[in-house]
Amino acid sequence: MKKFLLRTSLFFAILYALAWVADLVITQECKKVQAAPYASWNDIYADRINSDVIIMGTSRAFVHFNPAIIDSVLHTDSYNLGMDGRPTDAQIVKYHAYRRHCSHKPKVILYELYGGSMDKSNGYQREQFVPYLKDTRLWKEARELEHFSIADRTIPCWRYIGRKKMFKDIIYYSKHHQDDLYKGFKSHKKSWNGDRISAIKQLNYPMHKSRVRQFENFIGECTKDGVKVVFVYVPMYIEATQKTTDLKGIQNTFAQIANKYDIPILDYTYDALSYDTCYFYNAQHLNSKGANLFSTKLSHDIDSLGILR
Amino acid sequence: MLFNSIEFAAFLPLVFLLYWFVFNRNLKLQNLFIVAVSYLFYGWWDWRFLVLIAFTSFCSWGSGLLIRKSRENRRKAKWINGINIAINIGILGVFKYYDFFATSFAKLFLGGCTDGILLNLILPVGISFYTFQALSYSIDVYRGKLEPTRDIVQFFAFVSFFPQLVAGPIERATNLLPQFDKPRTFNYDQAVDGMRQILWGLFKKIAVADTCAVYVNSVFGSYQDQSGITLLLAAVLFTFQIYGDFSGYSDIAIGTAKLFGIQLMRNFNNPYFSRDIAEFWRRWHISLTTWFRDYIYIPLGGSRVPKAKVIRNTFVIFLVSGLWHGANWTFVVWGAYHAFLFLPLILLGKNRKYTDIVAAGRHYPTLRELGQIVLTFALVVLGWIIFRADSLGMAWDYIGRLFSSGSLKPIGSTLTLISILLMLAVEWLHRQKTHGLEISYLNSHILKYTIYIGLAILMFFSYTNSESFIYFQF
Repeated sequence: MKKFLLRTSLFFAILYALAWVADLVITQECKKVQAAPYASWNDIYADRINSDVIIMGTSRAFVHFNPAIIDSVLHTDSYNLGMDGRPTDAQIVKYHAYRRHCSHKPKVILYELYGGSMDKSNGYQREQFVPYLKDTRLWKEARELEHFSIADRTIPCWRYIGRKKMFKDIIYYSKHHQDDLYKGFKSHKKSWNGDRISAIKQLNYPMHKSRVRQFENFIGECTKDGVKVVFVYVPMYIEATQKTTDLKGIQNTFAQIANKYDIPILDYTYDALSYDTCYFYNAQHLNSKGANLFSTKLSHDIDSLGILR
Repeated sequence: MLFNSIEFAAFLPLVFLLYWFVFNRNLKLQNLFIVAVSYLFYGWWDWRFLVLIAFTSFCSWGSGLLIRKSRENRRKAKWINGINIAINIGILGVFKYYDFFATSFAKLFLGGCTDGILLNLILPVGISFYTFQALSYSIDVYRGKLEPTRDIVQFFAFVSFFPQLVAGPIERATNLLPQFDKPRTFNYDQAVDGMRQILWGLFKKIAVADTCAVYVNSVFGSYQDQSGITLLLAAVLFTFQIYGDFSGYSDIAIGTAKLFGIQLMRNFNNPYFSRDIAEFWRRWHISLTTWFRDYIYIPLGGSRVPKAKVIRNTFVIFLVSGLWHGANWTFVVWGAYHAFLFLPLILLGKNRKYTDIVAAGRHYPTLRELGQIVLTFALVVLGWIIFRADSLGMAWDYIGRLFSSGSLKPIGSTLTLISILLMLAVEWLHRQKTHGLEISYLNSHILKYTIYIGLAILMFFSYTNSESFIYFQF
């Protein structure tokens, strides 16, 4: 028995040591990636975000708000924390990580909201949290959302098991040019490919009460922290807006929160951009041309609000 | 609790240490400990169904004693045995087959209306496995092959022994029960071999079955949109998936049992290297096949009756075997399909032609053997399409589309192919051994450890979100 236990322990010790080294290497390599979805996380954990204006929201924040234009119009420094495919529950986790690890406190949050903002996270690009699970606070918050286990945090390499996409990304970006991200913003130089919207009858977005409550608490938290918030309804192609079920009800929910915390709402739902497919690559996302026009418009409107003065 | 879960990774060493260091001084206590941890293992999935296992175990144990008491009165013993069979098959029937037969009845006579006649019960995991295991005991006692045990703990340990509780091997009381009657001593070689077999089982499950499942699920889920070559590839991959899944589970179960000084029966013996369908069935799910042979086929007369009756008996066991797999006509037709493949072998008297190991003593098979293996494999693949399909309609449609044109949908991961080839190569090399990783003949520790670590690395990269074992549903 002694021999068996000794040999088994030796095997697991070797395995543990290998896993520990592999964990270290993968984490280090991942922290070098300057492509989505890792780039903004790497900026957060390296305290590289010194911005007064923070952009939050879903993929519509990620591809619509160009910090280069916002910076030039408002003479400020902005950063885009938009999360592709992620509603507010994940965005809040990311913001908390940002506030813990970046020394510079923001003045304003431009919060992009749409029908799907109050949905629940579905695990899309779950790997973006993985390299940072050693951060206890992040692990605690993301654990609930992403179903991470204690093993993900305690056993070396466990969190990386089977993450083929992540390994591919690391290998790809170590050899190729990094993604064309600018301060968290992704520019898409694509033309309209939104045929799918015509096949969709309705766009139904669930408004989870728990997510609305969580979002409201978050806004309260920001107000308490002295960070101003602006809600932004971005332009989507008009067909998508028309097919959204109960858009008024959704926007009413946001308006109630805005009223409670005295938050301005900038509404571009029916902006002129929304009627022309040349500004979009699909029904819900602006291409680079549309994003630049929108960012310019938005910057001027922010300026007229006077909240950065 | 799944074998490929973190819970089991914590459960197994803890149970192992307690078993050998705390409960090893008293056999009764050690058996009681096995029952407790086995119930914990099963209850992890759904504790409510523990009552069902306990009830099944109690009925078979009680009927064993009553049969022994009525040994002088054969008629009474027959009744007791019959009642126990009826209770066990009744429970199985209600939980597994009632809704299926009710739906089929409604389709035939009620225009498909099933309002108010379905029970919609949850199917308890492994019910077919432990019911058959418990049944084998009372039947063997009735036949006088086995002395009944008075020790209820021992019997409960036999039915619920956690490594094989939910997906077999379906043990015989004659093999397993006596092992709970004797003090177990730790055997280093047996334990090391057990660990290797667990590793090999995990490899087959994680690197082969689960990675094949990604492609298979995607193709079977949208088979109407796929080309013939893609459908064929998915069917072949499903063939490896179900083998990796089920034989992987069996390897983990047998290996785990070895750690506790218990020897379980072999469940798979390289079935895809079979030269005809009869050989395939001697090598696939051996514990179930032999169960049907001993408790249905032989009582019906087996092969010592006129040819017509042999054919009838063969069809009976294949149809029952199909139905055992699940409450769906696809399984019944899958069983019938294999019975038809058996027919020519029975008629020509060649169903026991290949009882040895293919290419024994040689590295490679002859061209003729290779051809036989490929042909048998192709026939098995066709059967698995029926088995995997959601309905008979889908199965026919799928088979019909095998000949359609179009391009091949690529397999997402080359690791899947590497793992399949590795599995086939290793199992071919070790086809005369009891499992793929029986490498005690290697003298170099470095080489052995390299193999272990290599497999672990392959699993690390292959891992997909943990798929449950296919045979749990049966």
